[in-house]
Amino acid sequence: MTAWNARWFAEQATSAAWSHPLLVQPGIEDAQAAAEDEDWDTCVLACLLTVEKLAYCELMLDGRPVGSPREDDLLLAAAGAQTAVTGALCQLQRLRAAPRIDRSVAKSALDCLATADAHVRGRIPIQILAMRTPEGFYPTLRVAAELERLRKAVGLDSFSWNWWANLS
Amino acid sequence: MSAPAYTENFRSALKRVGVTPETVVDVLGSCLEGEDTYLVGSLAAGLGNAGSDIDLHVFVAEPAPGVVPMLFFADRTRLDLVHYQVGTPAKALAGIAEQGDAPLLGGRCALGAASGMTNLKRMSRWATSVPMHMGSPSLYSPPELDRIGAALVRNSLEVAVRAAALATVLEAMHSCLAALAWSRAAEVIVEAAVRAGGQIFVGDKWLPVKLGRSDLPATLLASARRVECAADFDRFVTELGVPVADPASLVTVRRAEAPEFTFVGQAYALTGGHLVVSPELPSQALTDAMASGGAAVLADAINTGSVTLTADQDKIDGRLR
Repeated sequence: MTAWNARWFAEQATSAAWSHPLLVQPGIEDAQAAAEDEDWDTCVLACLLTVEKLAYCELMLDGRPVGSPREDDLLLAAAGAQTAVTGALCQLQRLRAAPRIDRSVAKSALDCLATADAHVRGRIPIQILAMRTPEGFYPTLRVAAELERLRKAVGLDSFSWNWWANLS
Repeated sequence: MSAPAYTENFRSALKRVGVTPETVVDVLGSCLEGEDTYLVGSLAAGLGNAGSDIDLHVFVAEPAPGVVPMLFFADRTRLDLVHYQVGTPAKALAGIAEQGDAPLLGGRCALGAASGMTNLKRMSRWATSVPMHMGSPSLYSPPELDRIGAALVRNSLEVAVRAAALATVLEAMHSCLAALAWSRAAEVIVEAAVRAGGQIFVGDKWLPVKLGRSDLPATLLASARRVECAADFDRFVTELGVPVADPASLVTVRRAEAPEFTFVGQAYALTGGHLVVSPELPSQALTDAMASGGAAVLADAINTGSVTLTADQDKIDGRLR
């Protein structure tokens, strides 16, 4: 795809692109760190919470009504959608129902998270950088500045950065 | 004059991420200038791992410029720094209504609505903070910690009630996410239990670790994960002695203020950039709202904000008493 609706790009895609580094990336780091610690329960829970944040990105990309990424609201908002991410959430619930969470359950949960992440990233028309790294931080700020310029060009107000900065 | 020595707890908490206090000072430099600095977050609460961030709060005498987090790096480890004005923890505590408390899950649960989550989360961080330097005082006294603990238990209870009520809506919609919503509501009850037992650091993903450190049965979380319907939830909370069975009766639904438009006899509310069918609300009861317009219509109305669903504080207080 080489052309997008600019207002969709400036509004929905911008929100999704910004929520990925703020909400999804820390979750992926948490899940991986817990796996390295062989803390399988925490790993699976972190995977679930992160896939929920991916559902939030997906709802925004689709322009569906979703307020905050608060878990209970998010599950209600995602209920009407049958997507790869909601499918991942149902799969994670089946994994969580196992009597014991072990390495293999955690491995499946991490795979589920990776698949859902790839799906959502593939829908965001901006390359998502690893913001929480020394090499990704400043380039991400440059993307934010350019998105702000785009919003102005299509007649939108300034992005609510303060709300987003305090989300996580 | 030389700076006060670092506390042993600070040095020891940083070891988990392989960073020393000297490195922290080297990276943050003058950003650390202030009255007192505290390590907060999972590392301070003894919960972190090698991938955890170093979260620092610096208290300054002058008014802080809003809550603006700053991000730094020590090699691959992230340092999150926020400035607060001295006295902010006490002001936050003053925001907790004093309406007494009631016994719950071996601890205490505050009566009356819990303070906002942002405020509570900050207080939980300050309550579990580790001073960077010798001589920095604890941010809260033991009686104040008890008040914060009771408020956090109450918060979990309210979150669980609302989450379970929304699970009722999902169940009525036959959504594949209903089972997940029920199990997560049950896990919030487990969170209330660990908070009642004194583990008051707020961080969803740390629930398994906090449970492992509590006196509660290790199997509790596995039981919560298998709660997948209303009947399971009622059984789970009743066995634990948490008086929130039939959560749909513990919430109220209300129409929010929004401009309405009518097209060919159908009324719509305009809210958050969405036009949404306005459901009939014969009463403030969730069951009435679902029976009247259907669960899917109600879900859309809640999602757009044209209808609000909130925990009924008086009813929860009544159950706790």
